[in-house]
Amino acid sequence: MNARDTAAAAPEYDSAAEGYNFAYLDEQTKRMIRRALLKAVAVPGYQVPFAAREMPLPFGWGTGGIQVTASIIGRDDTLKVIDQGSDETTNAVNIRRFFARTAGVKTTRRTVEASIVQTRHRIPETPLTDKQILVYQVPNPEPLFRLEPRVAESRKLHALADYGLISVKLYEDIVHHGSIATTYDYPVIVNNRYLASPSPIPKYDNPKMHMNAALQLFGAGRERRIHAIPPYTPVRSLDFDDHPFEVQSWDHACALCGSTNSFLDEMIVDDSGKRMFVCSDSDYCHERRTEQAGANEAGEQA
Amino acid sequence: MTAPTPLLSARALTKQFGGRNGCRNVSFDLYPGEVLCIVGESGSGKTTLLNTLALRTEADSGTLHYTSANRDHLDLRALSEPRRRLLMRTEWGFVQQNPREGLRTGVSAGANIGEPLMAVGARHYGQIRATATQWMERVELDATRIDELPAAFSGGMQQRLQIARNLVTGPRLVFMDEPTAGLDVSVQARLLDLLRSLTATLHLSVLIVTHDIGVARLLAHRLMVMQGGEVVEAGLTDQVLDDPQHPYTQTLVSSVLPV
Amino acid sequence: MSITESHTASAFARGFADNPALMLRAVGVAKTFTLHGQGGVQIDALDGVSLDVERGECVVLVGPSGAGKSTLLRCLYGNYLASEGTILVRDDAHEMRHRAISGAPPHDVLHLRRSVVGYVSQFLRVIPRVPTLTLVAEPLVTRGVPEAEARERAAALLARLNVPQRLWSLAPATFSGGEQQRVNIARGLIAEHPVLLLDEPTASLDAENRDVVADLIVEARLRGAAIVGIFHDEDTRARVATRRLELTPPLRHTATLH
Repeated sequence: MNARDTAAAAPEYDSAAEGYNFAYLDEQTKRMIRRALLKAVAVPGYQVPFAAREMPLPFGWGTGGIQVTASIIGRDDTLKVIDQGSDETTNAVNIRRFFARTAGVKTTRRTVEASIVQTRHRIPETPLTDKQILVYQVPNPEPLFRLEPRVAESRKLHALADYGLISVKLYEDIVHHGSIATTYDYPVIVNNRYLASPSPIPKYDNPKMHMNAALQLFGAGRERRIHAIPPYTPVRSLDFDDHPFEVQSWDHACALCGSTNSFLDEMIVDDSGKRMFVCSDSDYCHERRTEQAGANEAGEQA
Repeated sequence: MTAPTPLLSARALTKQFGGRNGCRNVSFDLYPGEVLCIVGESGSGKTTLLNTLALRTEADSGTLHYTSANRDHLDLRALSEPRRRLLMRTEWGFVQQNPREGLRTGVSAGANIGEPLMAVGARHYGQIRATATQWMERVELDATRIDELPAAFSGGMQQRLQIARNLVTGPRLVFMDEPTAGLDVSVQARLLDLLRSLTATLHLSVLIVTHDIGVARLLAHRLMVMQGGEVVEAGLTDQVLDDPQHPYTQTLVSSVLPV
Repeated sequence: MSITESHTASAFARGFADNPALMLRAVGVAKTFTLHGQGGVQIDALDGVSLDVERGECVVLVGPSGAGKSTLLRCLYGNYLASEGTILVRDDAHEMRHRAISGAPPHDVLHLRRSVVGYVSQFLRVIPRVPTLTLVAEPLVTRGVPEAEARERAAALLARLNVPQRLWSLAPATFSGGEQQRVNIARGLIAEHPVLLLDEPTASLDAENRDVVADLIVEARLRGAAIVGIFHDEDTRARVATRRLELTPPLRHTATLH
């Protein structure tokens, strides 16, 4: 019932940095967050308020995702952290080191090895399994915010499933751009009930949320909200009958691994403006290149 | 032959503020296709009455019943909030005095008219747009301006836009709070013409609050005169205006400058 | 209900049930105006008038100015509230075969005006900006007649009343008195109400047009309408009347202070 006394527990977590509880948060906080997570899983897509703590980095840097990960991570977990698909950005590196120091857990860059993947703004290309949890960092969980800034009113709209307003937004997109112009943070209906923001993942990734074998958890630190999509839950991206939802496609393949079915980043590589298209998911690209290298070697040896 | 059922029935409806003002003891029946004007000077309680009838304010006492499209006899004061909001979305309209309060100023004219359709499940962009275009024409707005924001339209046109937005779902009962106040006289006149023809062709029931007897004479079948929070006289418009019984009504009628 | 009232009520009921031609029954209708703004002065306008009108009758009201002829018509239409008396109109759909206009709730009076009782006032109540043809077609449109047919019938009637076609798309506000009155008559007669109340319909018309209107009234009468009318010229009266009813100014005609 009660959390173990942290002074007594500290020696066990000998790989945790001195003076910190396992995974930084105290046990009471973790319990509170887990309760919120349970509620969120029980009502897919519904935003559950939680008492977000002050974290050692400012709002806007993933505090919500970090708190969710901290509440669920155990000593035997393996953590992967990506930011826009890359394991090597400042943000991803810092968060990975944070958990390495405060929880002493194994970390990895390989999606297939991770039990928890914390992500900012992308879903890994490698399909996830029912042994994995995907934790999203969410800036603003409320898809209706721009259209209905009053919090009390937007909560009523969710409660009553009164979602005409989001259709208005999509209508306006078509008016101004000829098609639904939203390319990221594309609103979805979860489990045929709640309207949710999938966080600013590109709409290319939306289909991956549908009937995913993994548990998907969303943490918004500044807004103090958690929502969740349990495994194998239907997730539908909003559209009109005569303007159906479509994902982006590229005329190019990845310049490094040749993939034609992953999200590509466009990179300017020199001062003359030469462009290169490269997989956004660095692990996916790396795996493919490794496979190809292996196959080439095997081919050469043959 | 059974007597026709009233669309809206109020009995002894009262809403007061600190025991004073507001409206007291109001009773009437409104039938389908009738336009009823509530007339009175400011402070007469007419706006309070309208808001109470439209369930935007909660009554203190009295009863209020409504016969819905599928013949349900609803006790409006006992309605749950979801039910009430559904009713307002599907069978009622409310035209505000200031059109900017009844429109979404951040989205286009077409989106404003289309929203009530989308709120009840319309999912075809082309059809929503076609319906919005039709309605703009019906309220005599230039349909090529369908993608402009409300701020690009004049006050009178914004009011027409608000009317279209309220009528697009085919409501049975529309509340209007001083729909022509604040508009230029000639703009008012055109708007009244529009309201007159719409109420006649769409067989709407309308409850209009106004301080302008001319509006009542032009649009309404029936009239309720309010003074000091009470209905002092009610009846057919031509009867109340041609043969006023109550002292206040007589004063009101004789004060109107002949055109 | 008191014994007298129930006795009277059943007498009324018998009237409409026994006599299928009876269309309108007014009993003891009186009207007094109270002017509150002038110290409560009371003006008697009409003194206890009774009248039965049957199908095919045209009762012309005669009497000096101030006798209450116009007042009576307005009471019969529900435009004035009768101070005393009862006004009943045939309604075969009703169990009692009649409905009261006096003391009736507004909804009932509206229903009766739409389907039973028509009224042509002395002056055209001008609805601004509405074109003449639309104005005349309106009573048919509100009774469910398809618009194209309504406009055709309106055009025919206007033509008959010698209203030039070039005026049909204009609002009547700028027409001459005679033209306005003919539009008024067209609007009042087009729906062919079973009961018609006509208040000086020919007052501003020349002889030729008076004849046209008289023809229309006779046609209505022959069609079975029950008509009560006031006509200021004897020729028209002679043509349309099946009988006359003399009204005398109320006895207590001088102002009485409250």
